[in-house]
Amino acid sequence: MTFPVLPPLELGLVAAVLIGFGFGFVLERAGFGRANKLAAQFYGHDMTVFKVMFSAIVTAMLGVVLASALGLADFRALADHATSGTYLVPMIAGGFLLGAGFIVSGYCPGTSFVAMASGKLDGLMTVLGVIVGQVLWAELEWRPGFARFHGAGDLGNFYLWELFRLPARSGPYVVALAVTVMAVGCFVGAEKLERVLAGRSDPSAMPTPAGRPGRFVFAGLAAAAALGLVGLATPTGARESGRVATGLAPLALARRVFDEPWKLRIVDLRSLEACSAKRIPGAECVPQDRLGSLGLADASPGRDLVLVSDTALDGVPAAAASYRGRVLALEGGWAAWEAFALTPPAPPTAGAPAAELEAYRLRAGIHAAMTGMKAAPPPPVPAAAPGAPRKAGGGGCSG
Amino acid sequence: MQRNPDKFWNPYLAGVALGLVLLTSFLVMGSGLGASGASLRAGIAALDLFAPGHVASTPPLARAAASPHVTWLVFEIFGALLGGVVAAYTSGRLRGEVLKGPRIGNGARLALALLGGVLMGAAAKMTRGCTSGQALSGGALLSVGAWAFMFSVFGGGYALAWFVRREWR
Amino acid sequence: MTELDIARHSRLIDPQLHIWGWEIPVYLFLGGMAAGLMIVTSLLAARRPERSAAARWLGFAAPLLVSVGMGALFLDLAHKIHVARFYLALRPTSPMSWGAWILVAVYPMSLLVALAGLDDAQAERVAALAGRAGLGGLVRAARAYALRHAPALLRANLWVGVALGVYTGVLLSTLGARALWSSALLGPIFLVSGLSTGAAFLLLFALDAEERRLVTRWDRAAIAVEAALLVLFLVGLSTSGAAGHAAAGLLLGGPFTAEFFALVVVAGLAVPLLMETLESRLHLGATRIAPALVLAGGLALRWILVVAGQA
Repeated sequence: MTFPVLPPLELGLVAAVLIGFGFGFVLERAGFGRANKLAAQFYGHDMTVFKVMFSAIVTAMLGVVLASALGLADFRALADHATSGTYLVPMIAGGFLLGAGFIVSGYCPGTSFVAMASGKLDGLMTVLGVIVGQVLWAELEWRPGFARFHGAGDLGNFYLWELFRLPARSGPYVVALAVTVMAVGCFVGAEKLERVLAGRSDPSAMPTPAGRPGRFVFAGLAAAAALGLVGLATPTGARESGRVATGLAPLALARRVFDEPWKLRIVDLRSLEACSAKRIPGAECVPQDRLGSLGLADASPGRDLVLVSDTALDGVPAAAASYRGRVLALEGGWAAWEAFALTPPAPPTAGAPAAELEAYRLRAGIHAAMTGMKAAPPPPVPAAAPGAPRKAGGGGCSG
Repeated sequence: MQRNPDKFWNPYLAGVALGLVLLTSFLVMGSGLGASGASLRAGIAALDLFAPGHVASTPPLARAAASPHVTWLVFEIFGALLGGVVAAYTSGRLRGEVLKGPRIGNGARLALALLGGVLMGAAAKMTRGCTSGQALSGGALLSVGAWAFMFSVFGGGYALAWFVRREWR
Repeated sequence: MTELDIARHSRLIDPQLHIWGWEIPVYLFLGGMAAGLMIVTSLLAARRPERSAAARWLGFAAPLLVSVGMGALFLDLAHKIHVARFYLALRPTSPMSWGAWILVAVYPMSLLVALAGLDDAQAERVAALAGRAGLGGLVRAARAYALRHAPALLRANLWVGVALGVYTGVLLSTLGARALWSSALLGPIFLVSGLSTGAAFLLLFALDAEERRLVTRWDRAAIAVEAALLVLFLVGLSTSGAAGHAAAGLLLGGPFTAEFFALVVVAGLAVPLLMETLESRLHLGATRIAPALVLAGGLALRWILVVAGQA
């Protein structure tokens, strides 16, 4: 069995209620339904928010790391599915704004729901405020002046191990270990800080000390991180071939070519003649031996790299593997694309089920669009992007 | 037996429990926890009531209205409300009240809560997720944006804490 | 509602079978709750002669709720002027006809029991109030009559309550055209659901500790039975042939699954059962949240069954 399970929509919604129940229950019991306790984080004498949040992050992270070490899940694929892309500018600006809203209201959007559920009127007001704020920004974000800010600093799906330029294979494991070590270090520091400030804390927000359970947690997290590293050393099927490109079915590619071509960088690895004759709209013609000249390692990772070869691609070329964004391989290569998009589909027989009719309409539409297109402009000349080395990002404890 | 409403779980054990809930969400649904999406959907429902047709003509709202993930968040938050009620009830914290510091009145506190909520709502839309959806879920999956966001949240909170100290202390 | 006595369901012949709106679930909910109230107040009166003031007044809740529910039903009638025709004949084969006559029995029965349940001071206040309309004598006479026949009236009230509760379910299940409703379990399900919503309605008011303990216990029992019946209902449907299987699929993976499980099963049954159990186990203070959830769940159950049945 591999994860994620991805149940169908309706069953997923039932699972949502159960998962949400656990979410709300734990948040309330941790004290996150009480504004004074949350706000106390920012006056230094009760670090509960920090402790709960980071132990949760580390636990979930190590869980996913262990699952990928056992070959049950793929960290990168799961992360691509579950996280939004990185938009550095609005995320940092919005982070400050959210921090300001946090200290003013005493809640974050999630905990305000829990506070409302436990009868706190200020929680209810915060919930109403969040609704208003969400709608306000949704009204603004796509308007001309705001759209540039809203999409600024777009790095696509970008991860810490890529930021530190670690290899894609071992990167998540190394970073996970580092985050665990950092978190445990910060926990110990937080305990010290609370003890120092204990004299002038007010009774409404007493810190809850780590005690013996806390030390067990530290030990457990460290052990799990170590296990993850051991798992890294044991080869399992999923990781043997180094970086594996995610497959992209011809239908999915066609949809994306229509819907969001600006998020794709299609590189056609076939011979220059074949590519010049027929290619996927927007594709660059770069024969495989000249791939290195693109300087993919330093290219902006905002777009997904789609590799098109003659037939199915087995293994990502080294030059493409260094690309920091997502690398996708067209399933079945050009042959599959030709069969799918450039061959007219057989019309369905009378009385075919609705799903088949729908599939036929879709394919016929794709076929018409792909073959009826005007001749594509000449392919752009492959040019190396001047690769400025990236500045190593900062890290460390936020305290 | 009288419950002590000031007694909370050990923060590290609570964190591990929260992490396990989050991990379950990752492994079952392939996505993390969230909250602000549900608020947006509530706002969309209200807009639909007063200005039908407006949502469809506003791309971000139309996207959210059609997104199955946002629907998932609505049900998840519904569960979170139930979980919150049960947890608060069994720990003696289920009562109508306004939480605040000793030096501020109820009206001012409620107004500030509303204001803070508006700020957070706008911010969470900007950052594609709030502390649950972005910092917690994205942080656990090592997304650079999520970590940058998390540090700025703490930065913003600490930067403003001194100015609103009368609300809490 | 338009009188429906057909058992076919063909879009080509009857293009407009989706004709029941919000009024029907609201009516079924209020009717079921009134039925539950009649049963619970009768049981409570038989158990304990000493009762709190709130419990005594709540005898009047059943006729009040039935009136509101019938108001909703009246809004739904296609030919409002024809309402009188229900009472011109008793058609033994039509549940609607039965229902009309049961509703007639509800009023005198529940009002008499409610009057008998009042203590003397309360009865005087009611009589004084009725006196303004010139009905003071009537109220006093009715109360004297009710007190003389109290045990028999209580028993009769209980059975009228049961009949009303079952009728709300049977009303749906005789429409054979809807696969989801063609289950004999619908009557019992609506009866126990009505019982638990009636008990929950009582719990919203200031009962004394002993009454609260009793009513909570009945509520928990009703919730547990309702959950078991719902399981049987779904199992029965999904093993009953293609149409029933498809109907059960609406709630087991189909388009109503999420609402059904989230609102009815989790929020309306599991969570209140958990809270009421913990209340007695951990000796927690009383809360109005659990009964409110039961009420919301009861309304959601009827709403979803009515809407899904017509899908």
